[in-house]
Amino acid sequence: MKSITLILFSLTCLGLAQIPAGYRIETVPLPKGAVTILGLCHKPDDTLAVVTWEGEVWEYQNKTWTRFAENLMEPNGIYYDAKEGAYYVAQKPELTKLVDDNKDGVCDRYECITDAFGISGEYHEYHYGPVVDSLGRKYASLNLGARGDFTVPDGKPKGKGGGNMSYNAPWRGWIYRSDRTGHFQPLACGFRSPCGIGMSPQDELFITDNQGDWVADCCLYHVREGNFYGHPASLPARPDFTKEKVQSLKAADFAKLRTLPSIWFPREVIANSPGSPVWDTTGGKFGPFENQIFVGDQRQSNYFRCGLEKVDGDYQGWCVDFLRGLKSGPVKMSFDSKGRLWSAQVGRGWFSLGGKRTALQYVEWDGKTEPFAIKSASLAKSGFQVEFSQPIGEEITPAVSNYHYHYYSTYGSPMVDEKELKVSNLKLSKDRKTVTFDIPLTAGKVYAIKFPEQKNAKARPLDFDTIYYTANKLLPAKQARQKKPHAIKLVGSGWVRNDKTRPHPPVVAPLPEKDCVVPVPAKATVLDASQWTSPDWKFDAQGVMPRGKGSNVTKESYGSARIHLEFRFDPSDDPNWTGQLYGNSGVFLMSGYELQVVNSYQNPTFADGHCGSIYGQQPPRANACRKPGEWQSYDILYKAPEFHDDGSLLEPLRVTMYHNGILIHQDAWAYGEVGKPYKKHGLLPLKIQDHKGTGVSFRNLWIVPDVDYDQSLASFLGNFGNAPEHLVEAKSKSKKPKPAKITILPVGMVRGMDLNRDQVITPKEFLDYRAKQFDPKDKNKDGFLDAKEFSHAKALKGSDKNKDGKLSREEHLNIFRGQFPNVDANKDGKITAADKR
Amino acid sequence: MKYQLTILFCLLSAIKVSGADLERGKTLYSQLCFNCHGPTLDGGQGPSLRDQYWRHGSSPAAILEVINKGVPGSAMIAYEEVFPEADRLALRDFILSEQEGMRETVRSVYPVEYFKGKRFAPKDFASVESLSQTPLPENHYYFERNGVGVMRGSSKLYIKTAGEYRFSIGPIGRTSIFLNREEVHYSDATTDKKTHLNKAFTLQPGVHDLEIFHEEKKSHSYRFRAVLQQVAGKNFTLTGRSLEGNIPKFIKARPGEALVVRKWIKDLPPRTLMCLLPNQVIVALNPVDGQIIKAWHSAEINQTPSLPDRSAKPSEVTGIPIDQFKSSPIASDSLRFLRYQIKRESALISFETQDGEKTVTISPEGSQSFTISIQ
Repeated sequence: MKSITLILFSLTCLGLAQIPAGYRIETVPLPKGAVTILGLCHKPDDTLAVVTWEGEVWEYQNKTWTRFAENLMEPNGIYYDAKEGAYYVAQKPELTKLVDDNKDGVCDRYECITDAFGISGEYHEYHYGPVVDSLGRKYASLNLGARGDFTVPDGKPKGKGGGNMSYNAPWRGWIYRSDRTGHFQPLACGFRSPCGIGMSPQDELFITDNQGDWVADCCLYHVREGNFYGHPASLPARPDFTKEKVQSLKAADFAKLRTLPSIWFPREVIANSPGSPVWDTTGGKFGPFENQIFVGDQRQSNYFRCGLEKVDGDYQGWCVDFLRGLKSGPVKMSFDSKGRLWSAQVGRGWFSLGGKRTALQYVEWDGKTEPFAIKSASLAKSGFQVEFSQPIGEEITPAVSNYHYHYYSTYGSPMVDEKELKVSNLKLSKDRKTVTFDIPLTAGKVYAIKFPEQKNAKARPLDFDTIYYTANKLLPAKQARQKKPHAIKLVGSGWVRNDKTRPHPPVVAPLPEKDCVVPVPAKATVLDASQWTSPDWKFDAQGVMPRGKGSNVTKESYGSARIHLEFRFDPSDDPNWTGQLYGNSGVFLMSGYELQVVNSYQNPTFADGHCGSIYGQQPPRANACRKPGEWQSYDILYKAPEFHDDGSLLEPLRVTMYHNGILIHQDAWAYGEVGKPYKKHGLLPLKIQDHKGTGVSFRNLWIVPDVDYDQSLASFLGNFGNAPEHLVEAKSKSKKPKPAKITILPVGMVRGMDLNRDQVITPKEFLDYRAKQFDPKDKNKDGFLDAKEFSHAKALKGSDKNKDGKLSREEHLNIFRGQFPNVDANKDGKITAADKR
Repeated sequence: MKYQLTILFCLLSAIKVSGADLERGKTLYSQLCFNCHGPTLDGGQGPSLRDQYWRHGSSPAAILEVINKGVPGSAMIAYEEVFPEADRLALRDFILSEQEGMRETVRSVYPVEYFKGKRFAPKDFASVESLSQTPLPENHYYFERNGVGVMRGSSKLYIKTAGEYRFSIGPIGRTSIFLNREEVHYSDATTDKKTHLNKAFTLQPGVHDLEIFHEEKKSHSYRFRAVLQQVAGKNFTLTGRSLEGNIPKFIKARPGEALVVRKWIKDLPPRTLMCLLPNQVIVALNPVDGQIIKAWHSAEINQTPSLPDRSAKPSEVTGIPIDQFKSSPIASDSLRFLRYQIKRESALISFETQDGEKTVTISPEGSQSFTISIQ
């Protein structure tokens, strides 16, 4: 009987596994003690490192495990920085660098890189990452809490599957970047449970999120700095939102703000809890799917493939299942140098189809066998083009349907308005690998393109017959002209220079002018008329210097410095002088790095051209501009860039800056000079720019030369008293207040009496408890308690009204009736915590 | 292949225990065993001998076997050659006399079909083959994930305090409980959805046979909950989670080397650094403000894996609180936590302050205290 069960069981397992031809799954035994693995990475020498839920880091080399670090708090991802020779892990409380100083294979130093985000202690506040861009900067994601005080239910039912996620602490539901110790740059918000994080070979950041409230289904997002991705609970961290404002808005309002996912992953078919995306950059070692994205799913125990294309400026694309039958749920993946795709798998907490709690496996291609699969899909003008990995057989019968999702606070969305579509104009390419067809196209739909029973030329069926394409947009009538890539790449931000679609910095109120007054420090050089070189810029009697002809540069050269200056735009209502022509100038640090000066008060322009932007690179965190005609101030602390001897960049120029008392850059990274990449230089003068357009004047300029930027940063951030929200530590774990405990009675007695556990004992509860004691005490079962059965002789005598030497039930209870008022010390008719001896 | 169900009527009844033997066992324990297992059997260097988890089995025979043969690779040596048999038996009996709750727990799973529409009765199980029979060293009941079947759990129930007891059974599936081969509880949640508190019964100190039969609908995780309540006394939770092969973990510093641990500890801020010193002193420091929140001596952290939860359950500090210490070693308005390091017996925690980098060194002092220095 047992053997039959066994056979049945193994058959079911085999039924689950679907492995494309030429591929093989290998399981690697885990180290003893490392019980649940959550993340992994490879060193350049192919040493594998894994992190465990239990807080350990293990290295695997030559089939041997050694423990590198321990006692971390739920690390969810690991990265090895080969340049620094150190690991980075995202553990719950912080992003930590693990350094082995004495090279004995065990971590000696646990460096906190950033802990500038809140954590309330709610279990769901996971922290995933890091991944790294080509500049070596780290990115990680912060989950919302599963329970807490700030949810956005928007008047909708919770739905099946879970409730509303809560924002319990600063920056939950955000993605951030940290480029060095202490640096924390929030990038984008609106995430729910962004458990997958990946950096494309082109330095673009992608996130996978899990379906739930406000997230209709699992999906892949292209993360662009400043965007909002749909879950409104994370919005209060933005300077233009408050919790009250978020609660006052409706789904329709958030819909206008949000950025759509690039790819939806159909639930139960492709994914339920997708992990981190990785790019096949193995150069063909992993088969014919080079440059495609591979993602694993915790619930489905599968790997699936994705591809993206840019349509009208935004990424959208497809997903198709690739391989099934992994032991547990892959959450983090990594290719080794042999082109094998490893995955850290976990089923703990959430069930995985693979059945095991955890596993470490890799998938390997044999280097020759061509799998038969749907390779990719792309959108055409009036339909789709689908490519196969092998020539396909004679019969081709695509079945196409589409659907969309709700955007609401209910957990997950069904596939709405599912429709079968009529396929026409079906064509097959000469090499029999590419199929094109027409179909009625609608933007905002997911297309399920199925090739039922499709065979290849050798009559082999497809492993997975459906590819899903997310068509947020249709091809525009006229393709936009391909712009030449700019000299400066805004690495990791998702944007290009002067991108018109980049979100504008939120408008905030500046501090009152009187609060922006800064006394001139003793060490400062006042930049009065004597300090400038251009004869065309003149100070008037009031010390005001209007913009003159040509740039004005200081006589002295400067390195890292602290600068204060004030400026005022000439008011203008001339419709020809708007945008970049309304009061344009610029403060050029070291003559080359421009902090934009332009009127941004009710004068829209592109994001990275706003007043206070690092021009063409980094918009200010907020638009704190005053009206033209009013004086405004910049307070700037910057660090001069550092270069290697060969001229390459060692350390970028960094800026921390206030505009009218509002922090608009915090340790921001300059990507280069304005419009130009870095080029080695030494000390250089400060420059103020001339520009076409309406007038702008300057006054009260001073500079403190030779500041130690890193040493001064903390105190500089204390200026103006508006420390950013994330510097304020979140309150500890939020929970419902528990009723205070009754202390006047022994704990055991309270437990026996207060059966509803509300810490209130009514007279009835009090007497019920006593009444129940009668029968067990009545050993001889005669319905009375005699002196043997009731040990308090005095009480017995006192209550034995009929003097028969024993207690009836009523007499027994009367003893305790008399006790209640004594215990109820404050005489409110019930025993609570308020009753004290 | 066939698992024939056999009810083992062992045991304590078969072992003759006299007061004198127990006294002898207690004496021996307090002369030797306490060194590792603690004066109250709650553990120390070695595992607790009072808790539910029995790695090598909790039957009298299994306990005697460990005393006799020791545990290879650990400090537990074989006492076969050290003590005469009478002493070893006395030790075993003393340990058994300290037990409370379920021991020798075995879970068997039976096919559902056979019990459809039938009230569970031990005799019916005798004639059916079990699908599996698993000893549960956790000594509480759980189902395998995705498990299907009727569970029959059998345990020895150790009672130390005479008194009234009753079972509280969650309203899931069907449950029967037999105590000393008599049915004391039956509930069926398909017809009655309330949590059941059965009629109180009196239990005498000693060892009782406990059998629990339970069946519920298949789901990702089982939902069966059962508690034995001593009226106005202790609760014994009879159901729980699988430790999935992991043994309970207690963290303390290794000799000569401090340890910094980041775990979620109940009622402490989530970023707290737990500094474990080799003298068994634990100092909890909040890196956000540099404050020392709490300190304990004779302490360790109980980090028994909380599987299969979605996050680590809070760990607990067991130890004696230290009342007198300086709570704010660093006075600074702006403080940023930089790193921690271990230097032999000390934990070094560094901050960036207005006056530059400062390092707080927490070192052991004596057996119950610690010192703090700042550089």
